[in-house]
Amino acid sequence: MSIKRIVYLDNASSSFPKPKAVAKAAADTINLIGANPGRSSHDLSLKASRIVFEARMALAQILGLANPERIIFTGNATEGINLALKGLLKRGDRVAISRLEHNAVMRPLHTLKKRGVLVEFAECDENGLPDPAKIPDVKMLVTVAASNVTGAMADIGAIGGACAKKGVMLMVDAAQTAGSSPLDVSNVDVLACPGHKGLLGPQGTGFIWFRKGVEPATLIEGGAGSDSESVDMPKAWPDRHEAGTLNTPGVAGLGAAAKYLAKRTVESIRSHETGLCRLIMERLGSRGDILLYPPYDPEQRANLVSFNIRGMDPAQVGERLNQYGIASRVGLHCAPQAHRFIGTFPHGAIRVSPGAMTTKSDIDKFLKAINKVL
Amino acid sequence: MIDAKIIAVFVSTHETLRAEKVFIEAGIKIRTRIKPRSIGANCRMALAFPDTFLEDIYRLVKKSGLEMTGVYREDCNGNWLEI
Repeated sequence: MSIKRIVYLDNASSSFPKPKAVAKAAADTINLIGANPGRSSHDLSLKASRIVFEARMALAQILGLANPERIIFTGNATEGINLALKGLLKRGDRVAISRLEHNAVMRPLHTLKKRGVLVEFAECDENGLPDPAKIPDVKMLVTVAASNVTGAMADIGAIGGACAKKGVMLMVDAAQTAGSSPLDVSNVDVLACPGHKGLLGPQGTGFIWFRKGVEPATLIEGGAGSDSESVDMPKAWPDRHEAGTLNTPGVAGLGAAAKYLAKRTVESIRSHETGLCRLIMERLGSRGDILLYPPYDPEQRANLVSFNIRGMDPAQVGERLNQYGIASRVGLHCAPQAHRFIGTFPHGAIRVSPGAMTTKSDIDKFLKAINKVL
Repeated sequence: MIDAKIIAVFVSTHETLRAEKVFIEAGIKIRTRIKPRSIGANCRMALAFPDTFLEDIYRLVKKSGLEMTGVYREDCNGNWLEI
C-alpha cells in the first residue's frame, strides 16, 4: 500500500506528515553546513551554532518558557525525564505521581525507589490526575499534562499554583500536549517535551526545561565545547547538561517546526484536532458495541481517542484497521499504570490520534473502516 | 571588516549568540570571532567591536541580563588585557 493511501492516526506516537520545512532544514544542515555547533569557531561551526540557538529561542517562544538557555536538547522526552528525576531526587526524597504516568516516568522512578527515593501516588481526581486541593507534602510532584491513554488533560495552571504555595517542585511530562495544546507553565519547574509529536519535529529530538534555580546533578558528562580545561562540567547552561555533539540536523528540523507552529499557532491546531476528536467520539460513542473512556468532553482531552470493541482483542482490531489502511496504535501504549486505572490492563485498547495534518476526510475513512471491522 | 581592538566574552556559545542578537538589534557594529586562547577557556567565541561602542555594550549587557565574563583590549604587543 502506498504511503499516500494510509490514513495516519498515530500522531500521539509520532506526528506524520511533518511540515515540509522540517525535512528541508534537516537536509540543509547535513548537506550545506555539517559542522559541529559550539565547538570550532569557523563559519560553518558558527552557522551550526546559530541553528541550535534559533531553535532554542523559537521553542521557548511558542511554549512561553523563560531563560531559553535552560532548554536542554535530548534525544526524546524520556531522556530528559531521566535527567530530571535522576538529577534532582536523592535517597529519602518523596515524590508523588499521577495515576496515569507513562513508563518514561515509571521506570526511572522504579530504579530510584531501589536507591531509597520514596514514590507515592498523589490524591487524584476521577480522571487520575492530581487534585490541586490535595497536593501532598513531597519534594516533587510529577504529572502528565495529558494522558497518552485516556487523553485526560491536567489543569496544570491550578496544580502549579497549588504546588508553588506548598513549595513542591512540579515536573510536567508534556509528551501529549507540547505543540498541540496551550499549556500554562507559569508555575511549572521542570517541563519534558518530545520534539517529534505535537511539536512536529524529527524523531530523535526532544528537550527538558528547568526553571532558573532548579539545579539537577549532571547525568551525561563530557565535552561541551566550553571550560575545556576543567574536569568538571561547565557551570553555564545549556553547556552544563549538553555533553557530546548534538543532533544538529534534528534540532534544525525541530526549530523549523517551531517556526511553523508560531505561524499556524498552537491554539488553531488545538481547535482543529479537538474538532476531529469530537467527530470520532460522537460517531464511536453512538454505537453500543464500542467502549470509550472518560473524560467524554473533547475539550478536556488531548488529541487522542482510545476505545475497545466488545468481544474483540484490540490487537485484532488494529490489524484489521491496518488492512484497511488505517494507522492506529493498540496495546498498553507504554503506560500500563494508566490502563490499570481505567480497567483495560492487560489487553489495552485501540488508540487513534489525529494530528495537525489530519483531515476530516481521513476521519471519515477511519469511521468507514470501523464499520467494516465490526 | 570591523577594525576592532576590543572583545567581549560570554559564558557560553548560547550567551554569545544572544548578545550578538541584542547588539545587532541595537545597531552596534560587531564581529563574531574566535576568542584568543590567552583569555581562558569558558567559550570559544567572542564579540569584537570598535571602542566607540564600549559604553553601549556595558549598558546593553546590564539591561538584557547578559552573562558576560569580561571585556578585553588588545595592546600594541598583541596581548589582551581585561578592562
